[in-house]
Amino acid sequence: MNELIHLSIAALGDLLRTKKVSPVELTKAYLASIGEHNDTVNAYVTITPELALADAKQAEAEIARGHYKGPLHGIPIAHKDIYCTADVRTTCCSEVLGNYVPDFDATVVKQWRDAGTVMLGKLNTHEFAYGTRNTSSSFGPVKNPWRLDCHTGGSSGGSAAAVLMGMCAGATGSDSGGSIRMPAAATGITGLKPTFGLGSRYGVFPLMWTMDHPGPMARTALDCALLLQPMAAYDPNDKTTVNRRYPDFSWQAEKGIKGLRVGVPRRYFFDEAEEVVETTVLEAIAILKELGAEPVEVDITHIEHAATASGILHLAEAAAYHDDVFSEHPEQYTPETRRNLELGSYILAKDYLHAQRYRRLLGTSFKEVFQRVDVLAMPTISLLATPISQEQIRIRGKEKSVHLSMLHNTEPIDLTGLPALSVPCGFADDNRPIGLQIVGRPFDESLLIRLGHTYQQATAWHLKRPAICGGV
Amino acid sequence: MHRRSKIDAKTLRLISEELAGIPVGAKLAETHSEVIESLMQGVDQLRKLPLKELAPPLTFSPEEDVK
Repeated sequence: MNELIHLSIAALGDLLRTKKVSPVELTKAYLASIGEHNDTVNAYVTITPELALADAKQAEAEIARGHYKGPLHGIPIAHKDIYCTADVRTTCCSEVLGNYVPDFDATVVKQWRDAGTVMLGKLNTHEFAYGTRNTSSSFGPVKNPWRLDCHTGGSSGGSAAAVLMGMCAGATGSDSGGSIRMPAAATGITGLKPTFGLGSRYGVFPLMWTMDHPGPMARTALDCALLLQPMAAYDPNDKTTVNRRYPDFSWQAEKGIKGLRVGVPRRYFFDEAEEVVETTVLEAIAILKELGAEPVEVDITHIEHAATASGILHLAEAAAYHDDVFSEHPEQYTPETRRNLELGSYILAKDYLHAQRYRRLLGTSFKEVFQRVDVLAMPTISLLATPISQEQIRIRGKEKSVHLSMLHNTEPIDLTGLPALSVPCGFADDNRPIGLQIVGRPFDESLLIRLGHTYQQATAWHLKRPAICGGV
Repeated sequence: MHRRSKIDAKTLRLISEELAGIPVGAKLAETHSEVIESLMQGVDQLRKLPLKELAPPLTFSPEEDVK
């Protein structure tokens, strides 16, 4: 196995810039890893070796000529298969789209391409990104490399598994209820959901217009910063993008976290989690304290209604988006998506609007807390990855839906549109990963990166690899 | 606040078939009614929150959207 594939993007960028490694050599190493592991984990649904090698050769020539574009130049990446890619099949992992081949790139795909990345292919997802475990895909479920009988979290499960296995250096995800952070936590990688309006959704198949967030997934917080940088721009094709001056997201990464006030909302975010998750995340917060941060107990008022509001919004918006195709060809959707689209038809408009009004109320709750703290820390997901077919779980004596428990800690952050980073912070005894979620003020991604990077400099959870790709 | 009846499968089937145009079988309507009833109970609780002065965050910008 070529160890290059497990280096960070930051480290690879240095090797490429100084011509110690060529983009072609690197791309071949990732393609070899895909060839070795994809049948096992099912992360890729489309692999584009010819295109990748052509892009890599171009990057190699550009770097040789001195036209170095920056830290992503020559870096092999892949896109979740809801991002449109010109001349490359885009399926949303659904029979509905079949072998649809777009004639344009999604804005984010173009931004990453312009930054010099090399696209290796398209990644598995829950059908139309509408689920929490990547189990409902026309290509079959993604398998968690730590335990192949378990899910990876979803919907960006292919992205997470590919990053973890060294089948790409970084990947796009999308997050409407937690779909970047849940798979990041369940596989032990790093995922960043930016502030709503930072990244363009143009060319990304919608799940729900008011809560879809595109974002990066990688091994480290610093790598997420590098991948986020080209995404942060106003896009006239997506009116929700915000026209503002964005900082260099990694510029303060080395500054440390001394004096940073870390809010710890025990009610709701911790007290409904599995004990091992709660304990591990509290240990991570203790490390943040050792590193100079100041934990502060906080409470988010009205948070307990988030699931209702999020559920109403998901069901109604997805049903509206799929209305025409679904009424003509319901049989083309998987049973889980069909069920959700049917349920969406029963939501009254007034209740949809009440759910939207609740978002403002919840936003006020978070705003009040952010007057006392700089960030919030909590478990990303309140449970460990479960076996793929498991629907119910017992947590602290209560029988719960796995699907709803997965969403519990992430969906409030989509409702409020706040930025959130998930970093790996430990493992259960059977090697199932646990994620620490850090939530920040609007457009304060730099601070999340700084905290995540400081934590990852002090710990080694993000470096662990499963046995099937050379780890122990 | 309005008082509503508990949602049953029959009501749901009528909504689905006659209003939404999506036919569902009796068994499916039974399952769906349980989910929707649970969700509506959540909405009942949500309605008790201080939402009165809050407008939903939905905007239409003539400058941006009318060309």
